[in-house]
Amino acid sequence: MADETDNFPSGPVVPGLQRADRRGPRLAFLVVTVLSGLALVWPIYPLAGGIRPYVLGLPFSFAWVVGWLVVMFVALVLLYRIDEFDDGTTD
Amino acid sequence: MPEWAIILLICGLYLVLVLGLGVWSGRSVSASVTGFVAGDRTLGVVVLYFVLGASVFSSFAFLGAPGWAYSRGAAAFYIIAYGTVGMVPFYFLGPRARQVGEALGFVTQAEMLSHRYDSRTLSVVLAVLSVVAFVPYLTLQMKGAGLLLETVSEGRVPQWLGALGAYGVVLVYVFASGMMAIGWTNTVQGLFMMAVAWFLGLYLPEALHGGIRPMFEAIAASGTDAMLEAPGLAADGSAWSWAGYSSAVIVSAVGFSMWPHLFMRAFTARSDRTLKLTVVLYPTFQLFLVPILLIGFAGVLAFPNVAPADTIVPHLLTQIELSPVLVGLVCAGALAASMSSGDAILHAAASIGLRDGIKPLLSGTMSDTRQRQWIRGLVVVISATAYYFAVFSDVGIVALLLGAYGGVAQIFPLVFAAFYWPRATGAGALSGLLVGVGVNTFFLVAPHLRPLPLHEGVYGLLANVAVFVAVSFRTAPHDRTRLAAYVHPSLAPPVEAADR
Repeated sequence: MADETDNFPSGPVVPGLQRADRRGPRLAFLVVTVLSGLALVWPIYPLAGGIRPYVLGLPFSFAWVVGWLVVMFVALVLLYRIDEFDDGTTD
Repeated sequence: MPEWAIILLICGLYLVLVLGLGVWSGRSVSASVTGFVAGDRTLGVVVLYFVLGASVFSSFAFLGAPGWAYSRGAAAFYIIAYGTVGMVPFYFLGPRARQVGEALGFVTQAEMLSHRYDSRTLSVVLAVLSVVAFVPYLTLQMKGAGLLLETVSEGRVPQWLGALGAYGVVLVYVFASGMMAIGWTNTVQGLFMMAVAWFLGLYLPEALHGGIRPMFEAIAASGTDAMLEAPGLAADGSAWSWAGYSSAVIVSAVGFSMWPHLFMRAFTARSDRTLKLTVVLYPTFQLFLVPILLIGFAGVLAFPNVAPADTIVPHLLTQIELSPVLVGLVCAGALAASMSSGDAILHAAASIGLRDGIKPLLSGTMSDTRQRQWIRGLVVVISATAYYFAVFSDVGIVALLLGAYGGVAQIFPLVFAAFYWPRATGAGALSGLLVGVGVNTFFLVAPHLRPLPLHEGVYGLLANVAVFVAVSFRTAPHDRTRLAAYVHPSLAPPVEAADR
């Protein structure tokens, strides 16, 4: 354990990116999260904030928000599937 | 039997069921503080899913949210928007907190932070912040339950009696069984409120307008189409600003996973996997807001000018031709929404009040038995305080609660840095938090002084992070042995948990 203390991080630690084998999926997840966050606020949401077209009966402004909720759900499921096969250690 | 009696009978049966389940659930858990506060760290996915879901959806879900859709239209989509990304940080932070909590014996958020930042003051400040946010929250839940029973019984059960009945049950089961009661009752309450929401959300548009799309088309054609265009309407009926909408989404998303009663559930999870899976499944709970908002939209053309807007659901229930059995079930579902948040808040407020507020101020150690007595005593005191505000006093409760959202968001930088920024220090954390809460409160009470029309929490967060970083760099870093468990779980030395 003593020789490992040299690895002790001194600067900020970016969540989830310490292990090289997880970097790709984690980065992709981060991108989707940031995208869905941005899609729901100014300046992107105004572009999708109209009533038409209706989607499954909902005005587009409503369906857009629900759609991103579904996107985040899928992204979380995929992330979990990748994490699940790990050895149980966290990052 | 008259209709109101059938409705009340069903609500009464529901209360008896929840009371029995709550008291029964405590039998398997140990008589320790960890048992009472964190359910012995044994909760599985199903129970945890409903605890996290039902704790968030309070009587606001059945009263406030449909009221928003009814009066402010698309503005209500903000409630779905912030939850979309708001829970994601918990996927990463939750399991880390769980590991540290298990290793060092923590059961609350403030315990963890005060250890990480080596500051008892921080613990007391967080305890005060939590209780100040929780009492008005609990008060609103009690008012909601009382209002609902008063409306459906046509005034035969006054608000004070309805609130007393529903929260008498909550008091008994939280007192008796602690965390396990919350877990099991929230599972039943969560299922129940979801079923009710989907039923009403699909039934009402169909019954009043012949379907969901015809309902929205009718609203769009009625001259109130502006309410369906994002970002909807402000409280006064004018168009809401994009700055206001966007910053409200951001602040609520940041604060979402930081609510102390929500965050401390990380310490109840059986394993990291349990906690992660719960967060993964969380959006399926969120979806239940869709029918909830449809209920509000169903009232727009059918029953214009209902005021206050929060009463649209009880109003719809009394106006629609439904069998009294169904109305009774719907009311019980709405009671479930109120009580499943109320119990979690009451339990958290009492646990935090003792562990983070009172215990650090007393010298010497406190036995497990003594701590449980204190927490149970606080459960009674906090219930009584909230009940007093709900029934006898009318100070600005809603304003306090709105301010609390911005205040709770100020905890985020501290929790994030605890795990991901080793250089963060106690002096930085404490000064950042105090400045953040101060700035947030200042702009809450003096909104006309805001440089831009953004949510006050945004200013609080900016000031918070700036002060936190600057002060951290100017103070000595914490010792590596203290930080090891947070930054590098594999480097954590074995620690005796006995001193906490």
